[in-house]
Amino acid sequence: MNQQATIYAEPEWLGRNDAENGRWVVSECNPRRGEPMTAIAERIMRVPVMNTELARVIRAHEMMHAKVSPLGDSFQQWIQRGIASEKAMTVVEELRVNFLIQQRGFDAKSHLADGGETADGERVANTNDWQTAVHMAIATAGTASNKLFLNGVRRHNRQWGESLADISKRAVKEMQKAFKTGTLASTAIDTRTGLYPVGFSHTERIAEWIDRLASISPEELHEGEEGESQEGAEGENNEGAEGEPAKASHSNKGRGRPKKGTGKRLSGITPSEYSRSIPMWAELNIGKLSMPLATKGNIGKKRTASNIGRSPRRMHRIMTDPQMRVFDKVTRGSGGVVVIDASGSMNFTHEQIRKIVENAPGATVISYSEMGGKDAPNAYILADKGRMVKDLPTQGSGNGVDFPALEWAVKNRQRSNSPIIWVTDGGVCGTNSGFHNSLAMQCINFCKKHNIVVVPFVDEAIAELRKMKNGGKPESRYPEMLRMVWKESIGTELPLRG
Amino acid sequence: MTTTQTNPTLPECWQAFEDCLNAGIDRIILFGPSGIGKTYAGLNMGDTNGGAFRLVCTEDMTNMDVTGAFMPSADKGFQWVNGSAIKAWEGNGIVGGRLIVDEVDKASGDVFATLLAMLDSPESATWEHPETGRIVRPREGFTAIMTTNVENMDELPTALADRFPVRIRINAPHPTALLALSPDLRNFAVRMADAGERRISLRAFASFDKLRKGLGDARASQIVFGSRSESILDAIAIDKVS
Repeated sequence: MNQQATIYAEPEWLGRNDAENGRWVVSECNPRRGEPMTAIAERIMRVPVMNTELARVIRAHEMMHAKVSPLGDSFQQWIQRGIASEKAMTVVEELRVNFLIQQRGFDAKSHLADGGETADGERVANTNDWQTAVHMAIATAGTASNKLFLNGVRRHNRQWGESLADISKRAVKEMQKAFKTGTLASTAIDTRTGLYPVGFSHTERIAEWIDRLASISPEELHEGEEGESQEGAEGENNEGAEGEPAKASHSNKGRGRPKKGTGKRLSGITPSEYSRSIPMWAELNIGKLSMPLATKGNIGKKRTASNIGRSPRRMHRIMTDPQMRVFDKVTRGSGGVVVIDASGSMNFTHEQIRKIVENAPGATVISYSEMGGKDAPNAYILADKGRMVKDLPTQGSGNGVDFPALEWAVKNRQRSNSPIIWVTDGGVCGTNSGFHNSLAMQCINFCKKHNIVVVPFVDEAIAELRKMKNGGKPESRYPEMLRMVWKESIGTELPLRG
Repeated sequence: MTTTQTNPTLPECWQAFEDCLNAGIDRIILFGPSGIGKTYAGLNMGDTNGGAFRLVCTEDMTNMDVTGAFMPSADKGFQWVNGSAIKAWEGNGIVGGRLIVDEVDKASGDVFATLLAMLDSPESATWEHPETGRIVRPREGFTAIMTTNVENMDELPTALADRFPVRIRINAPHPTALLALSPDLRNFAVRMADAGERRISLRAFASFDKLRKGLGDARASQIVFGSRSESILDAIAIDKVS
């Protein structure tokens, strides 16, 4: 092979359904991780130009990006959906591209490695950076880099090495399954959601799974089991060494066999199933209702006697109160937001809304349900700032905006510590679509992140508010459907209460 | 967003050319990458009942090609033979024809000056026949299409540019020209027609198409595309991903 020959990539040959063709600027770079790049919107590509197998596979990799990856703007739209993180989608996109070039006859399995992967593996294992380790494993899965990277990881942490090898294998299998749908490389525009390229929906779905995997390390996941097996291992060592504790106290994590059962537990975290339509929330459209009824408002503003203050208002207390609390102290309730799923599977009454505001003065109550129709409101504010509606509005049977409603609640709560209660039966659905695990997981994760209390019935929300009013700590009671999704996705039980 | 590959209608540039011809515009510049079918379109599109006469400009050409010259005749004398411009003026004797001037930017100074006279507006354009002394004027229906690879129209001399107010950049092969290629190559030919320094002409695609039928893709690509062969075959392989 004449290595001196210069071979540039030819991205102008590639056609896409979501972008027009045009001239590209192609420049050369070294065949090292981080140097080659493709900016599809700007039509800029940097590739190695040597006549070597490695350079050829890298060129194919960048060309495949130019062929199937999302453009700058559309990638932002995928990120803004919030289903998977940007980092996870970036690494899964690497996997998708590597998988597709392998399908087209470019031998990424044998040639796509620059030699620095082993050191990368050692570094992430040494620094206990599980998230980066998962991301690297996914980005390199199905290529020559993967083995080198895992070798590096294994030198310092055998358990991670085994887990990452398993994750890499499963990720490639997921790509194989996605490939069979015939849409993995599609650059079509999804007419329902306007998202493009359609093939990237597979990336997003797998990235959501990667986010879950990366969020919890094998040690954290198997804490209990690890404790037991460590005890066992020490026992064995002591026996074998006849009282010499040297082996048991060895600090090198990479030594010894990986803990039994770790792969099995990690495999409990599974990707969500592929669905033909891209799961998507509708845009929250809050309808305005008149609120003629007055309730306890101003977030429960209450005056109490205090011995410090500016203007004394209770002078008589000089004589009657040993602590001479002559000043007024204004205390306010923390308000709160109650988000009610008003879909067909739920029901609530005007009386229950009244009880909510009685127990959480000044609270905001919002109910949501997809009505159908592009501009029809899909949410209504039923009570706010001490006022509430006279009659409950007619709402639709779908959900459509569970997540946007929760986001709205977080943004619009009275104070950062105002409680949020979500009343739902867990049957969360995207717009014009059925239940989808990734959407449900998005809601669960959001609730956990923002301490949103989840209850299945309005009466339980009232009970929780009453508990908070009396100084108690609120407690979620996750509905059955959400607990099932959690179990399927994470492999562990989502506590019924907590 | 639109896509070039699935658009079954006439590309925008060709639609604009057709609209201009239908509206009776008689002076049009077609510019853009070479080998895309500008000259072919000039010779064939629109009303060419008066005939279409081509003039390919080079530095060495003389006015003989434009207006004509005395040429030796069979009776050992000389007779006047009209050049392309006069032939186009005369047309079929009833209506004027069409003059297609290729690569006008390459014409020498004196030819360029003669061309300016020939391409003047019909009211001012006249030419005296050197043999008969007859004043010749362009017949009704005379049209002129100029083609050039010059991308920046500001580079054209002002006098010439003034005579051709309508300029259309042709950046896609004409659909009828594409029909000569095998279906799997047509989209590539469209994309590569305006690919800058990596542009590949329709003619190269036609040669590749013919050669590959007997020699296979790899060999045909090597012969037609030379050192770019490998990267082109790789690009084709990647584009076929589904």
